[in-house]
Amino acid sequence: MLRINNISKSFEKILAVDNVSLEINNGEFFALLGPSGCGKTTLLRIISGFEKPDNGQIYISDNDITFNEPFHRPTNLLFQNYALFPHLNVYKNISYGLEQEKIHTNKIKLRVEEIIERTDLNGLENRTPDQLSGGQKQRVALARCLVKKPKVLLLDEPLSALDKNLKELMKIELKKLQNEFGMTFIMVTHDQDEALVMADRIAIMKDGKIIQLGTPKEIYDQPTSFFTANFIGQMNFINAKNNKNKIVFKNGFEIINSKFNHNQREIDKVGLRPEDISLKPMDINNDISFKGIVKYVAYHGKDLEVTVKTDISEENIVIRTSKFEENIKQNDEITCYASLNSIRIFY
Amino acid sequence: MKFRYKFYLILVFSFLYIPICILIFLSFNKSGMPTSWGGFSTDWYVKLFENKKIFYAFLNTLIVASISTILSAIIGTLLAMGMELKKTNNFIEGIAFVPMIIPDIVMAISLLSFFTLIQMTLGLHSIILSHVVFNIAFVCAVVRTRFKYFDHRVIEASYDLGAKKITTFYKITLPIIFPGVIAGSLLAFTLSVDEFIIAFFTSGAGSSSTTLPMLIYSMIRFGVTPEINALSTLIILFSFMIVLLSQRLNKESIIS
Repeated sequence: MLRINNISKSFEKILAVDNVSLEINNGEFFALLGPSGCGKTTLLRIISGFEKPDNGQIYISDNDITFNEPFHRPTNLLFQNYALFPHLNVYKNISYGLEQEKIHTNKIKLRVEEIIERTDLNGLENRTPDQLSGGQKQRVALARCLVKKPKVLLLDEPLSALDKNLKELMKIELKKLQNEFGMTFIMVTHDQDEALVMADRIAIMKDGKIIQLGTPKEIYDQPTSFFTANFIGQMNFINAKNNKNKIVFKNGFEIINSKFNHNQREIDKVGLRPEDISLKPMDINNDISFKGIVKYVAYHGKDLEVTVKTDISEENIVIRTSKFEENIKQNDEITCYASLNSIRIFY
Repeated sequence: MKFRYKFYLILVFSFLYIPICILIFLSFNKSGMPTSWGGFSTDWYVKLFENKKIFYAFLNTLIVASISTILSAIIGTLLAMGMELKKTNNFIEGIAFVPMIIPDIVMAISLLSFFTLIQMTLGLHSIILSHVVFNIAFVCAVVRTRFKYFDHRVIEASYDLGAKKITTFYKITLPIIFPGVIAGSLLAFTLSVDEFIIAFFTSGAGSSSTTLPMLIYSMIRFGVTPEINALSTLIILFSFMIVLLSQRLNKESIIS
């Protein structure tokens, strides 16, 4: 288990990581997700030993490794640009890490050959990195880490340098490898899709702090902050006020539900995901509905994005709906439906 | 358009190389006079090799160039590494390159004053030290061009894979920058071979520390002999080959 205790790190006057504590379980696929400059890469570099924290400790299996040099810790880092050794061939790149350990040459050979097999690099052993494609380079970089059998594998934006199709393929591939090897993976990414698809748990980082931690489902369905809701997926934000157990919108429209228990806290906004809004009633007892006028319709291939001007909000509301509703046109008057359960509240 | 371009090119190269061509041509002149052609001959080359004075001066030059090249290759490479891998400021960048552009005569005088001040006896060793001073800057400059194509993350990758700092230097950093180190050393070697002013000032009085350029200088005081033409031809050939080799290495290094 990896334990991070109150880690802080600043560069000159900028606080990059601000008192972060985390526990990551063995065999977990963990994602650090956030916009650039949120401190996620710094945190990764602290775990891998390239940066020393100002405060706090890091434990792997209860050993304090906070100030261990990178070559003295059971972690390996998959670099964003792969950082393969340009003067060594694929085989030598992979065996390099094992040669640093006191391992018998025959054993190194066996382990390197095994990993070449498992990462599908057969026949490329004698090529140098400049003779490899982007995907192949990544597999070599991955093999170079996996062959060391680290307790924790750190991945720095692992898919950012790949093209779209390869990216989709590698998402599944990385997940599969992680399962097979049973290793702890900690991935840094700014791409919410990558985090949602691959990770067991996600930590959302902002300004050096973790602002939400949870499974992809928890993060997506119950964002606890405006920032998370905005960063993960799309969200319509509607200004609203609360009156006991009622939510009151701009035009006086009210939602009454005993589930809303506000403890005297002022509501700031409510959120509705575009895909949670339907143009057909779903459950009469549990739906809210509002009327609006269609401003734009955009065809997105797998669905339609409809922008609607409504009475309940100053901002236009965006709806994702089935592409079979092709008859929707600009200036149509429509009724939108949403389940009460899909309404998120932000204070 | 194309013709004009070629014409100018030929003009520039003629300006650069006609004097050298004349020198090479005269080194094969049997008569020994620059004004009359007495037929083709390699006599001057034979005479050159029989000249003991020239041989010892050549030996001195070789000793100075070799030792100063090795020393400046080591120090210059370390300097380049330090400047590329650590943060430096403009001031450090500047003073690392001053020895390259400072006039030789100024450098020669300052080195001589320095050696006198610390009461060091002059000789081959003081020439070697002086050559190291300016060669460091040249080696450093060439090695740094190699670092421009060097992904610094490979050093971190090496640490990450369990290699300590010394291993990383020998197995990763040095092999990657090595073509640059060789190219820089070759440049330093040629510079040292034909360096005159600094060697002249820092060699001391004894004739035992006379280098080839110094000998040539003392010989032409009595006129340019065909022997010197032959010697110069050989030096040109040698420099040309080394520069070619150095360029080739640097090009390869950039491609890979």
